[in-house]
Amino acid sequence: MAVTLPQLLSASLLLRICLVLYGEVHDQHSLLKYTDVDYKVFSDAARHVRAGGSPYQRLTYRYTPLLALLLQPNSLLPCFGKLLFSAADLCIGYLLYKILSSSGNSHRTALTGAALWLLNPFSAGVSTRGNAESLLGCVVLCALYAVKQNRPVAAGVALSLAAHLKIYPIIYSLPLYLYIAYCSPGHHSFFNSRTVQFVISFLAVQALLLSVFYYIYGYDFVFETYLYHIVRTDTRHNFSPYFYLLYLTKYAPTASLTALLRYICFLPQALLSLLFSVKFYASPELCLTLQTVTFVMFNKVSTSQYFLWYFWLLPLLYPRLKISLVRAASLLGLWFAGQGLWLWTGYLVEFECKNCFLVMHCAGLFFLLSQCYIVCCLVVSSRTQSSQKTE
Amino acid sequence: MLQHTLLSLVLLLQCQSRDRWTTQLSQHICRSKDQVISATRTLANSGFHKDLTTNLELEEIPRAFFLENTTSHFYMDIDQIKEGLFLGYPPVFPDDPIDVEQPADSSPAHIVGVLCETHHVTLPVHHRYQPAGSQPYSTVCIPFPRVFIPVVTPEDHPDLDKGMEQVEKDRGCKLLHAPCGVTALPECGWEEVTVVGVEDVCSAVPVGMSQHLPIVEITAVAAVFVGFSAIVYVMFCRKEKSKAT
Repeated sequence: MAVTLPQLLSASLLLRICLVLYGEVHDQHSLLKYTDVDYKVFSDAARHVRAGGSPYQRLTYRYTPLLALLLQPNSLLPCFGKLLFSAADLCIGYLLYKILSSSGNSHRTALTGAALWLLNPFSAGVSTRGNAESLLGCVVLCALYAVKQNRPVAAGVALSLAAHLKIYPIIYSLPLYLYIAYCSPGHHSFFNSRTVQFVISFLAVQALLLSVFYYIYGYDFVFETYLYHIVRTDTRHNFSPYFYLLYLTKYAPTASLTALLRYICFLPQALLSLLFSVKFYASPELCLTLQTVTFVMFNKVSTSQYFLWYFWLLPLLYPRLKISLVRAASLLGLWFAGQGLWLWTGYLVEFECKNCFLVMHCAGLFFLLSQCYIVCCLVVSSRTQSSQKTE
Repeated sequence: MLQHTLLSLVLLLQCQSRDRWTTQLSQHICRSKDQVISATRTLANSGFHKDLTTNLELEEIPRAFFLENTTSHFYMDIDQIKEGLFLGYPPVFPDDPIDVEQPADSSPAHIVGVLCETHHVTLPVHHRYQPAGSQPYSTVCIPFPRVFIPVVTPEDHPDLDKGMEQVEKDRGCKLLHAPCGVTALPECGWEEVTVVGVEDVCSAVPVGMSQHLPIVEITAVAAVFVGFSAIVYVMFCRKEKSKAT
């Protein structure tokens, strides 16, 4: 018997409700909490807003006030936010199905793509622990779906909302713009009415959100939501290839080359993002995935949470990837091995008090190079498929 | 009217929490003349996350109040401690909100009030990142806290404010106004007690070594360059090469 989309969504919903309930019980009996530490931050920020204050009264709340507003019902139902993020998870699954279906894939293929997200214990765990990233995934996929449906205003609104929730989706604006400009039916010029609609709707939503929240919360909003993430230099250990370099140079900013490196390390990610946009805009699923993967791996700060940013895009590549199961498993194994090696060194430093910073740095570089190799394989594989299609 | 009163109360509580301990400690605090207690202290676990255990020899005294100076090298995660109340962590009252992300060189020291209702109390403390240096480890210490015992409590004085005022007037010094229980209010009056047999507890924390900078610079730049070039090559050049072949 063939599985239908409602059946898949129901099973996913049930899985998430069980996990939310489990989390509530677990947290009452264990010091090691199931609930994400950030969920407490969101809930506290929502409490400040309810009391007539600012969400930024909560230390380390560095998100849009929208999130604190959305979580107002947390006072009545503390797990409301987790249910909301789980609902966003289901929306991601639904959008994955719609995008895959609209790209000419069979029902079975589209359903498999959606199931890769919906039944993935990792994604289910993240949302039910109270991580809000699924809201971002939902609006990013909305933007992508709207572009593919030739609806530039909806795409502009969704992308603007995404860039409001987190800054990084701004990198999607160029490929989506180019897709609207050159791949929309009947429009094949850099400036046309559709691109104007896309840009205006994007700017209008940005202006609206910025002005309203600036009016209410002032400079705190601008700094915590935007500027902090731009100027942030986290010297604590993380997956970034620059982590140890930035840690050491913070306390030895003498050499000019060193000082220069601190400021130009954003260049590789910026250049790659530009090149992917120009090269792959006609295939926005692939382009957005490659942009996100490279953005995360070349970023100045990179934590496990950032990997989620491409996890909701990866199922869209599933039908395109013409590689054997063994090769796919070995690439996945390489990704896990690179990460595992780094985590091992991180454990030695953080919990065993071993000075392994240099080894950790090398593990971080190995992880970077393994990810670069995986990106190369994705590019080659997608090109092989394009050539097959052309033939 | 009610709104106005609530707002005043909120403002009052906020003012109380900000620097509540340092302001009080700047005054002449009453000290117990006859009470001397002994104590031991340990810092367990290796790495950045420690358990700070204090054992007090308190006879006939039901509870004590500590003022812990975490220094800028350590921090207490107040949320973590509050969530562990049911596992035996004591109630804690920080002077200001504690930023758990800052490294040692950009964090202020914090004073955290700890209500100790048993003779044995364990608190989780965490190392902050230390500045890079020429040695692989840096040794950092937590000083022993100032310890207070109750003088004015709800059991002896139904009107706490009057009771504290009276004691302060009689003795010519200030009592520490600190919580009597898990909640911030009501506040009891506490006097400082001399503690013997205590030393600062210290531990080593790994730090980045400045000698690594040249090799880190070279390898980081090389890895980023190789990774970046490989992706660009695969994107643009490899196709042309295969076409030519």
